[in-house]
Amino acid sequence: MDVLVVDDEAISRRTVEHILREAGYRVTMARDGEEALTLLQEHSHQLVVSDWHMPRMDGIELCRAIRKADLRRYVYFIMVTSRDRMIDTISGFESGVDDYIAKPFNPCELQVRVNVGRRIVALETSHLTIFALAKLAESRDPDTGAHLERVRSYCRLLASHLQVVPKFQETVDNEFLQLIYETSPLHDIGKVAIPDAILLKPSKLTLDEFEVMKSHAVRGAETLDAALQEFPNAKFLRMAREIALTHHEKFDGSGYPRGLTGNQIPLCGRIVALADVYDALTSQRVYKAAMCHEEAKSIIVNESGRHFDPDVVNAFLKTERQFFAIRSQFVDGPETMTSAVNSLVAGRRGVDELASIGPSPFCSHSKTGECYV
Amino acid sequence: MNTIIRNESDDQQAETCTAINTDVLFLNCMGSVSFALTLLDELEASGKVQVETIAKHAAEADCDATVEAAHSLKGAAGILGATVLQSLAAKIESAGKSADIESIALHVGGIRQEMARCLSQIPVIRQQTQSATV
Repeated sequence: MDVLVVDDEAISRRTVEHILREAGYRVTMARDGEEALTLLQEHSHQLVVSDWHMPRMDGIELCRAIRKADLRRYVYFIMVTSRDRMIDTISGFESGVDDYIAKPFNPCELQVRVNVGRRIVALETSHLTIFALAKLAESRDPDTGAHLERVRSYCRLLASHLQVVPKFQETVDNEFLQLIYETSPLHDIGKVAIPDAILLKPSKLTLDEFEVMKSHAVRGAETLDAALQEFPNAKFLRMAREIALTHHEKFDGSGYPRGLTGNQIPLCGRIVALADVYDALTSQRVYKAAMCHEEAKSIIVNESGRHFDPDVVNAFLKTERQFFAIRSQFVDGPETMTSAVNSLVAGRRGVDELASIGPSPFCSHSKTGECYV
Repeated sequence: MNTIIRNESDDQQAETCTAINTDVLFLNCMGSVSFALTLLDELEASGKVQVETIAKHAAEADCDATVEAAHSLKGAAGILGATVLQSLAAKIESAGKSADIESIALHVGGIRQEMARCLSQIPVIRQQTQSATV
């Protein structure tokens, strides 16, 4: 594993490097926070061992910058410092520091603390594995591109706005934000149970086929139930299950699989419902063009209180600029377009058929031609 | 011009200790003599400059910069087992934090002399480690 050692003083920096190399780590060194931040943006270090006092950008400023930056990975931050006053420790942890090592440190203690960091980073990697599984499930649908990346970002954005709404303050804390970001990609995990003949059918689904397609919500929840039996206290699994089961429920009770209404639908399900639909509306499919943000917004607003929770719609309206930014950040790759073109070339869906479907179906499972809105 | 003011307690502390405690140095280098020697090379190359940086900031009454420079030297000295040097740097750092220019000035002479003592011990350590490996 790569460790980034940050210290302006050469003897301290080289000593930490030596100790960590002895423990088998690959070490890169930086002389201050700014240099470290540049290296973190260019490389994939997941562990930082940093001094507190440094010129230009000190350890605390570096840690804050790391937490604020979109590095798309968790960086475990160990502060090496002789500042041992309680107020310094609190200020460090508040800025996102994960661990402290007091100077003068024992070399073995440094190695052990870094090993702890490596274990924690490995746990995060297991979350990435789960994301990879979600991607695998999603990969059976050729149209989805960067759908999961966008949906998880939309969800976190909506939740972070709801966090400041008084009625949600008890439910939406920082852990909720993290959980919804990590678990929302699993919303369609149940698709793995849908036969290719239905999932990949280029033409309209029959009513019976659509019933099978709808079963992906329950099948996804069942899959996660099995994991929950093994790990009943895993909040991660519990939220993932709620999302898989309820992201097609509608606020007015007309959704599936259970026809839940209003607050019977867990908040995470209500959030994912909007994020998923917004993404489907603004994404190109083989059978439809992408809607612009304003068109999608208009549909979502019209569905406030029907398909969507009005509070979630309000959060959407207040964060729409960031929605647009996320959309621009995670643009569907060329493979999505290629699959679309290939489908057309292979004659899976003729031009007339495309025209007959019309512009309104936006849900990812709307091959029936039904408009879910 | 640099004013040399000596603090008697610094002198007494220096008399009772070797400048560099090689036991501490080798422990911090995880027993690697060759690595310890590279750290001593580093001290030889930068030690004087570090002390003069402290003296310069102190002369300019720039307490923040003095604290920063003393803090860096304190960390390095701790790793090298240069206990007296570490303690003097700590005193300067602490005086700088309280903007106590007089106390800083009182220790600047001492830290210069202690750095000289450390640097003069380096060739001895080199010789000792060479004869131990022969």
